[in-house]
Amino acid sequence: MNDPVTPAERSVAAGAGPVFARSMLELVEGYWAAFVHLQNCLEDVAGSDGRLDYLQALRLKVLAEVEAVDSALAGSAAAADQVHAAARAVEQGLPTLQVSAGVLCERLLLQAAPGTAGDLEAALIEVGELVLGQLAGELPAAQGRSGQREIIRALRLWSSAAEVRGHDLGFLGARLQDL
Amino acid sequence: MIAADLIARRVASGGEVARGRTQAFFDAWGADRQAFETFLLRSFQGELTPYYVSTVARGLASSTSDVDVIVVTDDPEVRRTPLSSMLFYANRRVGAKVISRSEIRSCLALVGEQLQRWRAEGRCADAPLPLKWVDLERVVNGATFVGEPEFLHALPDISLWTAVGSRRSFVGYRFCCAIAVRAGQVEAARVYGEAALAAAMDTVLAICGDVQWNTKWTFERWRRLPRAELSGDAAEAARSITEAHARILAAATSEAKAGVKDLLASLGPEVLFPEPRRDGARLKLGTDVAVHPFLPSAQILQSDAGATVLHPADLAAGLAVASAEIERLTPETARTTLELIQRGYLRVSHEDLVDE
Repeated sequence: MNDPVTPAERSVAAGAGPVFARSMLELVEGYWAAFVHLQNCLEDVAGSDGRLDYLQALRLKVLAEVEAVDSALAGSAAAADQVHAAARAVEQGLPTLQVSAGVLCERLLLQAAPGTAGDLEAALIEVGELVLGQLAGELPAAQGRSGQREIIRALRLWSSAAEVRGHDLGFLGARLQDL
Repeated sequence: MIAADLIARRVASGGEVARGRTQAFFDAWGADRQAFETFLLRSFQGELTPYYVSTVARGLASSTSDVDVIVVTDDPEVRRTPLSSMLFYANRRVGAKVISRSEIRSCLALVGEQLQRWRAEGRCADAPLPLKWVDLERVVNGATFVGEPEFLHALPDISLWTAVGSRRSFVGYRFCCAIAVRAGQVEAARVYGEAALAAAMDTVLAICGDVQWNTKWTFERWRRLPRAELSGDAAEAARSITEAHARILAAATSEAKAGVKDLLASLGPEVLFPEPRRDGARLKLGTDVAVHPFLPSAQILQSDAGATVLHPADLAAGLAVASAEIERLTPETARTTLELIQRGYLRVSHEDLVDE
């Protein structure tokens, strides 16, 4: 059942409007996309060691991952692949997260000639953190040393909230297997 | 067009290059390789062959890269060994995976059959493999802990198979780029252009025996391609692709981004694969998509099972589109068609493919 999220289940990140998900499931999908896939991508960016070619390839992936977070929160079907997701992001922006296409393209240096690796690395991290910063609460650092503990804690919290609202979060078990 | 001599030299080296890169990684890391291998294998009992794979074996590892290992075995005891997905060693994340030797051989046999068909008929099916493509590619290119690599002999087949698939991706993204330009979506056109270029690079890299599943490394691998070793068509393709890549990355105005379509057209797949193959592309319904007239036009129904229903009127214009017909779309129809492709309701079908 897609009940509206109650006030107790949402909060507002500083400087941005609230992110309204239509259901618990959509919230969980969005958070999963953020803390597993987007954070993983940003970790790749931070570990680029100044390799510009690598960062240019990661730019498409960052676009795809932020689009995936936005689509998940909106309850929309995922794009057919990462390239299509990135193409959607640069034309439509991130409507749920209230980031326009123009802002995305500008921040990711798509409106100018190629910059340095340092410029691009900073731009990618900035956009990633812009999106993560809009998700309330603590995001588990899935890839870190304590990642497994943090993921399990998050799953327990989500399961408790889901139980109260009558949702089935059994699909998360399969996600944990994929990690 | 396969650079057979380059690939043959690589196979003849018996994995020496991958072993050298792996040792260089440990030297830079400062970790004791023997201690690491003892740590990793401490839980396993039985017959197994471990491989360093991915960035470590390829010389692409950064200061924070994971160490990825694949353990190849048919020993049921080894296959039952529980593996943590959160292993760390000296502050690096370690990824270990066990895969079956017999499944690897089945995959390689299937790839060989498909390539025979492709050579004879110019067509191949998108057949599922028993293993993930990423695992097959990694183990073929991996560096053994001890001894010679077992599957490097399959590199010629893996290279050609990857080249066929990458060329197909190039055609597909080039198609989407053209639709995006027609739809007035120049930012999307640039994205498709970069993706098409990456696929073109992967095609030439594969022709030279450099195969890697993860496209985030494509531009970096392209930069490292030893151009001096290329000749003839491969050298010409490399030069054209490099020029196109520089121009796409520099495309900052709307005009330049729309011009990406023409850049890709100049690269035509015959540059990448100058053999007499059919090379069109057209749209087909996505997997599990049904068309039913009992649905208001422009309403898209998606069930929990993933099946999707479209009204035939929304498809009529899109499905008529083949590569040569994109200019006949109106901008509005092009936008709708592109959205349907992006959401998986339509898919780009390369005419070499047999859809089974």
